Amino acid sequence: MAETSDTVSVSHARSDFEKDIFILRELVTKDFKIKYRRSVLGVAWSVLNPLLMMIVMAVVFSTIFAQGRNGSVTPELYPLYLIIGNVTFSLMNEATSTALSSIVDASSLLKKVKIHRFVFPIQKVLFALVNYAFSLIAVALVMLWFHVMPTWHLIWVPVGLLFLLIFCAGLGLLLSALMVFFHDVRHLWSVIITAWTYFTPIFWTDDYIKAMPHLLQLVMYANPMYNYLNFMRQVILWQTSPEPITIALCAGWAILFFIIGYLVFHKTEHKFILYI
Amino acid sequence: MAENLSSPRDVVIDVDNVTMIFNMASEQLNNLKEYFIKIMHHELFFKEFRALKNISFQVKRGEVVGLVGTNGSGKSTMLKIIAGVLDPSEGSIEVRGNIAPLIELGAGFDMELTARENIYLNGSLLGYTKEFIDAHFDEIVEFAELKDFVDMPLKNYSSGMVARIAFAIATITEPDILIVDETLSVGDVFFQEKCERRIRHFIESGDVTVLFVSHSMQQVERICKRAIWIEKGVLRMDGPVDVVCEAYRDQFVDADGAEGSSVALADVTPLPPSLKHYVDLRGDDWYVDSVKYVVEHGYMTGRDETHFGPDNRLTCGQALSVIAKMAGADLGVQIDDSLDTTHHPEVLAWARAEGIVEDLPGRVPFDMSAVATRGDVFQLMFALNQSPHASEPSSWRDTPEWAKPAVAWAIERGVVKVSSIRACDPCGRAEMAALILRLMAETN
Repeated sequence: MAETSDTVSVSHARSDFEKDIFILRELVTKDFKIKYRRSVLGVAWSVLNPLLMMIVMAVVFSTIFAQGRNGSVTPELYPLYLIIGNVTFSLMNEATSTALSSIVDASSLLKKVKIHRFVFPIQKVLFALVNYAFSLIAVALVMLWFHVMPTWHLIWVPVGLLFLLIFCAGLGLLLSALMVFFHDVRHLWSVIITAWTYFTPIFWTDDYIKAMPHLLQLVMYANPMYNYLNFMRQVILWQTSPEPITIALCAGWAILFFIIGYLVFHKTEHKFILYI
Repeated sequence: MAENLSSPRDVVIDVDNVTMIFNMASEQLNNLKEYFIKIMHHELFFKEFRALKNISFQVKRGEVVGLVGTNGSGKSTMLKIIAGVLDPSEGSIEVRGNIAPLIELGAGFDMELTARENIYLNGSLLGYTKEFIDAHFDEIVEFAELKDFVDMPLKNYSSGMVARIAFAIATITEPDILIVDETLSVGDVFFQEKCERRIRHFIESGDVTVLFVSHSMQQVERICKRAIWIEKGVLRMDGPVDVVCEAYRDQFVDADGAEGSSVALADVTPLPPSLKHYVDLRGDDWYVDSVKYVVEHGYMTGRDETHFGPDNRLTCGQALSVIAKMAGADLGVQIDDSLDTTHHPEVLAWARAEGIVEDLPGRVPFDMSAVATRGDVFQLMFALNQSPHASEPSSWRDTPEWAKPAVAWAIERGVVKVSSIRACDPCGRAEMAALILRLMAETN
């Protein structure tokens, strides 16, 4: 059994960071395999779901609510407008909702092994990103259908995505920490998400905001998701570089929530084991 | 390895004045509503429980240390702190090196994934690198004897197979610190031998620090050189294994040096000498003072010579016997509250003569073999003392009418509180002893 190996094989990770990265990779892979292992449609579902949602919404809002007939979004571009908004909001929704229960679900692990606890919510955010990547295929298909040619502005997508991920990570850390102590955060959050979907212009357009009273307009523009959706649409749909104000707000919200989430998590994480 | 012996060994585990405080909330608060309501009412307070109190010790590289202590002593808490799973409330701990905690094998195993995938997952949680797992994958599978099943989901494995993989992954390298539990009984006899050989190999190499946790003194003495005894959160002893184990064993031995009783009670507080012959009493229990009083004054003798029966119910006859003893009645027969002598008619005759027991109209006649309730005991004690009628307190809804004078007297004498009359509850021996103590304390 004794092998004389000439290569210096280090058995344990050299640093905590290395260890955490490996754990993150393994956990994301695990979630992916479990989600798609025995499903018929499998990965295709990640593409199909946003497409189908988009079709339903486009029909409902274009014909029944007579939306998108004026202003910046022409009827031809409306489905693309919809799907970009939908997919981006879903990323935030999935990332935060799964991160919320990540610590509580990993209780058996946390009680046995010494791990950095932040790994769990961050891993869920990354997994949501993986699903987002697949749904971008759906977006590409819609672009193809409507003959919208991609331009170099698409280079901005990773930037916007990065800001959004940091935002979600902050929220995820905050929620997962709160969930350990208060189990009804789960229900509270689903209500917040529901309200948030209506207050974010996913299926309705900018013109509606302009028609609102001034105070309500401010609330709308202050909504962080409005900025992330705006960013993505500017880059993919209207094919311009994102406006500086949008970039600033995206970055600002991301940093703010990440700091809040990190602080709350850091202050309370040593108590997790007593409650899970 | 020779140079290690000559140079001073470095400290791998350094526990410095560690205290662990658990806040036990008086109730479970799991949602926001309850939490805020409690805050509003200023009802949010926690009872502090100190699982570990100012523990300090150091372990050097290569030492084989046993960790002993009875259940609830704080051993597992200490281990969790060493493993890094729990952070101490006060003090600090420093652990240098990789820990292989064999007490919680298979952390992170997901039943849906195959063994191959789980090996990587578990390996990552234990801190191995991917390259290392790749290089030693076959070794792990071979040790676990599961080559044909590597790509099957873990949920199809038997529990023994799962445990074997877990053990193989955890011990594939020589860890710096090994924490072993005696209950490492995985797999069949052959596999157990393999495990033991591997652990012994680690121990003999001299570079692995081993923390061995066990209740079996023989195992600890056989394997370890040094032992640390933690009891009720306090470091009782830290020294050579034979000294510590002897002291640990001594706590079970009787005062007269007899063989340790089959009931292995680990009292930290010893029983008073007058109660030592009772095996069912414990020095830490609430009734020790009361029982000591009644036994020393000869009022109660208990169920038999070696059992007091603190929680056993009394019959009315037994309670009456006790009262007779307290009155110093000389009846020509031996009276006591043990099981054998409950029905002495002499006792009942005496009690009737003294007016302690009266057959009142409308009242059930005194039944020597009925279970004595607290109300009965109050009545008997009251009759013994015949105190004047106290003014009726307000809140005693379920005290029966016939017992009310007695209860009133008992409350006035400080024998019982208004809130805890419970006149219709059966009376245990220890309870009667406590009531007697309170009564006598008032008189003296």
